[in-house]
Amino acid sequence: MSAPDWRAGAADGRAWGARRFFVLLAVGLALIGALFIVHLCTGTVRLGPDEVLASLLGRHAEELHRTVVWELRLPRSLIAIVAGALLGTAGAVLQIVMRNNLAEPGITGVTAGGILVAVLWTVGFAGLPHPGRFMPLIVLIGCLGAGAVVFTLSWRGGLHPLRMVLSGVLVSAILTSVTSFIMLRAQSGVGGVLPWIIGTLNGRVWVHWEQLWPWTLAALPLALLAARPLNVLQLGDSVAAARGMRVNVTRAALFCLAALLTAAAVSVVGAVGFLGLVAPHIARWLTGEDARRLLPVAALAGAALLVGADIVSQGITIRPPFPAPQHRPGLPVGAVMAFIGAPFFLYILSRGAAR
Amino acid sequence: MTRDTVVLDAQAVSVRLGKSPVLNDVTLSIPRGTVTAIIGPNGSGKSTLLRTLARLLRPETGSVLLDGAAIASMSPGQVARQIATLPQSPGAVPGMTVQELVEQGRYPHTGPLRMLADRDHAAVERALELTSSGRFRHRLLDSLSGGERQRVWIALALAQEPRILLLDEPTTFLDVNHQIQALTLIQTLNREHGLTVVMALHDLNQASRYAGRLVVLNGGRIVEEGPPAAVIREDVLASVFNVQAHISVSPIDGALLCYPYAALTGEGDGAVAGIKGPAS
Repeated sequence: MSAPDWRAGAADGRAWGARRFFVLLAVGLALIGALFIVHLCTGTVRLGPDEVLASLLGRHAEELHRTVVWELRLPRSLIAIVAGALLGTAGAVLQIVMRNNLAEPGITGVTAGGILVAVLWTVGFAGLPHPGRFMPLIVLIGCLGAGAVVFTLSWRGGLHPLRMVLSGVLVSAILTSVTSFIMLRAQSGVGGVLPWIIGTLNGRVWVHWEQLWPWTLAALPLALLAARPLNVLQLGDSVAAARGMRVNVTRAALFCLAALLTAAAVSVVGAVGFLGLVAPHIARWLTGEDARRLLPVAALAGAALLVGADIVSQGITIRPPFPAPQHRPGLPVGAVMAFIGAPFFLYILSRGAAR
Repeated sequence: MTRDTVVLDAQAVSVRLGKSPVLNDVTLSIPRGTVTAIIGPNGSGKSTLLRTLARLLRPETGSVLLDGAAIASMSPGQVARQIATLPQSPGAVPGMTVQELVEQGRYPHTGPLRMLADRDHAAVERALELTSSGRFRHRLLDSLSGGERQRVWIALALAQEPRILLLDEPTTFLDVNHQIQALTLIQTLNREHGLTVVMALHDLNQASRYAGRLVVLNGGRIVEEGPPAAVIREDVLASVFNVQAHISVSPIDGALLCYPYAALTGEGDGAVAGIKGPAS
């Protein structure tokens, strides 16, 4: 008998396993709630939690505070929570579909493809109207296209993990440079390119929320429902096929699902990297690999991470050398995520977790 | 063998993997409630035959019948509710507990979206009980020994509630004790629960002891078929496995024992390996 494992399901009974999971969910939600309040307090105008609550509830609040909280911070917070959840879930799904612990929308080129199409649409094809709510659908085309290219490049009778990471990084680099080129040609300047490529929550308001929530409402429940096929897929292709699964069809469908989750998020916040890598790893560490628990916890971890990173990013204001839409905007949240995520990536790599 | 005792039936099946033919005109009937062992040297097509019987590979010509109906016209799920297959080394060891893993055996019954119902939990419990793996149901798979792990994989197959179990070398990576445990479990499943078993085996002695019927594959063709006493012969071992062997009867249970003592180089020409002269 080896030492008992404290991780998921290691306890004595089914009930405790389920209880532990619900405790985890409750703690996660509470953490996000706390970060949400802190996030609402953070910004150029510093507010106390009491002032934020008063503004939210509309009691005895100064008009300025009300406007700041309702019109600027609330949508930004909500977008951070939802986009984080989407990217965390997308990462968890991709890691299983691609049989690779390093898979992540950014690293696999999926994000870069979506961004390129988004930029082409808004800048390149002059005369086309802004798609508004349908932006995620257009981004999805790019995500799927880039993902298909990376899939093809890394397929040698099976997905080779390191080959996938390498081709993903290369495809990302190419697509990102094309995006930069297009935006600079369109004279939107560095200030216009950066938010897309690095990913930011600066200036995200209700219009963006409108663009985000319908797709989230569709994609996130779908992802949670996909836990069962994801679990069977984790057993390896030959075992999955022997359970009566059409492995290739299922894998393609789940990949499209991950692309949809990614598209909804990046069409609003840009290419925030590493979130889809870090969140599923935290979740796996907390719950084990059963996708029924992994996916919801990865979503919560992603939400908490993005809100947290945005609180940090707003504390670091920059004075850009170019005219920026806002006065002294905060550091793009994508930069903060990269600062957390890149070392994490190296850590996973060094642990040899790249199966 | 009357028609209704045959549960799985391969008819003139030929399979190609890439360009090379792997199975050549194989016809094989599996009677209900029997244990069949497929033996043969490496690359003789044992795994391919098992995968074809389970509809995991599509034969180029010929067909496989399950209860007289062509398996090719059934959905993968339909087949998996009748036939459970375990590959040789179920490679990935996910960070799941034993119970979580065994629950995946319900997939052909639940489909991709339905939750586990009482019936599914009952099947999982039964599978854990039959394989006596219930006591480590909450342990992570990678904390188990090779033998325990193999029992868990068999439990996963049993949770599928199949009538037919196809096993690809279920003892290969186990030590002797666990080999015997696994084979005894398979024998019990067959005798007490009526499961039809087809397994590829490497060890000829185990094949002749635990299987009622042996099928000898060589170069993608069936060269011998029948009860162990009819198949385990010195000439078969020489022509198929290229070994000189002595065959005796076990004093314990009367099973045939084969003791290979020399490797032959040619196709049964009697030349003994290891006594070759220097390379010319």
